[in-house]
Amino acid sequence: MMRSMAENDVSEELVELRSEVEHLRALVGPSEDDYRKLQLDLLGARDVAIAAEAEAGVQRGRNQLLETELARAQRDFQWFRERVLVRAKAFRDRSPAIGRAAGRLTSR
Amino acid sequence: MSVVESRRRTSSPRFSIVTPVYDPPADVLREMVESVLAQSFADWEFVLIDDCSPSDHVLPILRGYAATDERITVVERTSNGGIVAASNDGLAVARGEFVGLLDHDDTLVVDALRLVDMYANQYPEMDYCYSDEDLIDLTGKYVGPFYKPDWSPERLRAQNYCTHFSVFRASLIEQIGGFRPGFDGSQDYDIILRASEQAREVVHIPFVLYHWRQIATSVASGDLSVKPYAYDAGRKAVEQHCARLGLDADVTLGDFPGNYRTRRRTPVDARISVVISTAGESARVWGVERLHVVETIRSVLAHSSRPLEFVVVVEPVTSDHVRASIERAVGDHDVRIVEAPADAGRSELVNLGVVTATGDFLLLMHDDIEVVTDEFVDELLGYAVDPSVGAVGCLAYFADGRIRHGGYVHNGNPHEIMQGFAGDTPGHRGMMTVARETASVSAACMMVRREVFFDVGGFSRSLHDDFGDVDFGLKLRSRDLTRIWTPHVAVYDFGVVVDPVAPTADRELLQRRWGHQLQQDPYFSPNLQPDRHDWVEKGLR
Repeated sequence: MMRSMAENDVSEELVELRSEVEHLRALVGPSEDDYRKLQLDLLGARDVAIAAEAEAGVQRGRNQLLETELARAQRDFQWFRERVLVRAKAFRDRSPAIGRAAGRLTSR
Repeated sequence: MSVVESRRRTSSPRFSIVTPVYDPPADVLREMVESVLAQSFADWEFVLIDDCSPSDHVLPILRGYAATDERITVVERTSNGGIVAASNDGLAVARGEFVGLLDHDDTLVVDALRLVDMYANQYPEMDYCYSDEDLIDLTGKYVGPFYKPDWSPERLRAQNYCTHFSVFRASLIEQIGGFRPGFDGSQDYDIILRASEQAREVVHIPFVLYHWRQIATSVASGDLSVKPYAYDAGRKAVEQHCARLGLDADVTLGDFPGNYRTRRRTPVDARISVVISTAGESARVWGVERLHVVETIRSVLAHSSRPLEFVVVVEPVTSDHVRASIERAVGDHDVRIVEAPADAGRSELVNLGVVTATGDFLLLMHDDIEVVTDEFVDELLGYAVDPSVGAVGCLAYFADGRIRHGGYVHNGNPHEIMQGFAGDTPGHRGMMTVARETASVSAACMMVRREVFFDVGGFSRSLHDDFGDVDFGLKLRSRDLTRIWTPHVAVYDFGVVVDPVAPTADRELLQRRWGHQLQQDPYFSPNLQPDRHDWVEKGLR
C-alpha cells in the first residue's frame, strides 16, 4: 500500500516535470535537436547550391572551350581564305574565265 | 659490337645525331633516316645503333644508307641490350661537337640542325637546347604542336616537357657519363635532368624541329599502361635529381601519365603570418550569406595544422561586429588587427599588413577566399623556402568550379591563364596539372618570404586598386626570382574579376612601367596568339 502511494507520487511528479519542460520549451523556442536539424538543412541546401553552381560552371566551361575552338577555326579559315584569294588572283591574271569562276567562289 | 663505317672523316662534325634502332617498320625507318639526309645544314654525322633487331629488314636498310653517305655510321650490336646500352654505344663513337637524340620512328624538320647551329652561335655557352615538337598521328598527319616555355626547371621536375628535339654539347654528355642503366624508358628524362644541373646555359628554340610518332606502344600515346616501367624510371630520375640539388622532397607519380609530384619537406618551425585586408563585406555565396573575412580565416584554420599569426588590415568602414567576429574566428592563434587609413589602396593595405607581421613567411590573402586543400600552407611553404623562388601562387576556382587563376601570362596584358575553363581542364600539354614557373601569381593566395617582399619594395602604392600582384611578379623577375604556380593547392576566390584590357589608370601605369616585359613572357611562346589566356596558336604561316 505504501509502495503504491509512492509510485503515484513519482508518477504525478513526472507528469508535472514533463509539463514544465513543455512550458519552458514553448518559452525558449525550438529544441537543440531542432537547431541541429536546421543546421543540417542549411548545409544540405549549401551542398545543393554548390552542385547547381558547379553544373552551371561545367556548361560555362564548355562555352569557353567552344569559344577557343571557334577562335582556332576562324584563324584557320582566315588563313585558308587568304591562300585561296592569292591563288584566285594568280588564276585571274592568267585566265579571265577561270578568274571569274574563282572570284564567284571566293566572294561567298 | 662492330662498327660499320664508310670513309670516315678525320675532322669532328658540328653535330652527331644518335639513334638507337630496334625493329621499326621499314617505311618508318626510311622516313626517319631520310629526314636526316634532307637536312639543310650539312655538317653532321649520323650514328645508328642496331640493337640486334630480330627483323631481317633493319640491318640491310641501315647498311645501305651507310654505303651511300659517308656521314652515316652503323653500330651493330650482337646482343639486345636495351635502349640505354644502345644509346651509350652510339655516344661512344659520336665525334660531333653537339649530340642530338633522335628516336628510330620520329623525324626531323629540314632546317632542324641549321636552327640549332644558329642558336649555338648566338648563345656560345649553350650546353643543352630543346625545341618545340609535334606529333605524327596514326594516319601520318602532324598534330598537337607543343609550344614550350623557355627554361622551366620546376616544370621539368613535374613533366619531361623538353623531350624532343634535345641537343647536348658532347663535352657535357661526357662529363655526366652518358645514359645510366636502370632508367630504360625514361633515359632521356634522366639525362636531361642531369645535363641541366651542369649546363652553363639551357636554350629553348621556339620552332617545331621534331615530329614525334604517336604509335600505340609509344609514350607519346599518353597511355599509362603502355610503359609503366618508364614512369617508375621517371619518378626515380626526378627523385635522384632532387637529391643531387639538395632538395629534400618526396617524389610520387602524378595524376596524369608522365607527370610527377614533388612534395618538398618544410621546416617545422617556420614562422608564418597570414596577411588579409578587409572592409568587412558580406555576400551570398552558394546560397548562404557569408561574412567573407571570417569564412576565409575559418577555411585557413580548417586546412592547416601549423601555428599561424594573423594580421588583418581593416578598412575604416569595417564594423565593430566584424572586428569581434575576426577575433573569435582566429581562436588561439595570434591576431593583430591593423586600422587602415581611409584613402589606402589595395596595395597599400597589403604593405601595412606586412609591416605589422612578424613571420618569416607571408601568406598574402584576399578576404573572400575558401581554401579547399588540406595542409596547403606546407605545400606553398615547400617552394617559398627555396632561395631562387620569389613567390608561390595556387589554383583558384570561381564559385561554380571553373578555373579562375592558373598563374598570369604576360603576353601584351596580364591575363589569368585558362580563366573560365572547366575546373578539370588539363591545358596545353597538361600545363594546368603541374607545378611550374609562371610570369606572376595572384595575391588572392600568395606566399612570399619576408626578406624578398622588402627587397623588392613590397606592393607598389602607385597601383591603387589592381595589378599590384602583377607588378610584384615583374619586380621579382627583374631580380631573377621565379614565380611558381601550383595546382596542388586549390582555393575558391569569390572576388571581382579584373579586366586586364580595360583602360584604367592602373593598367596605363602598368603598361608604362613594364610595357616591354609585359610582352616578353619566357613561359609563353611566340607561336601562340598574344593577348589571349587560352593558348590558341598563332595564324598558320
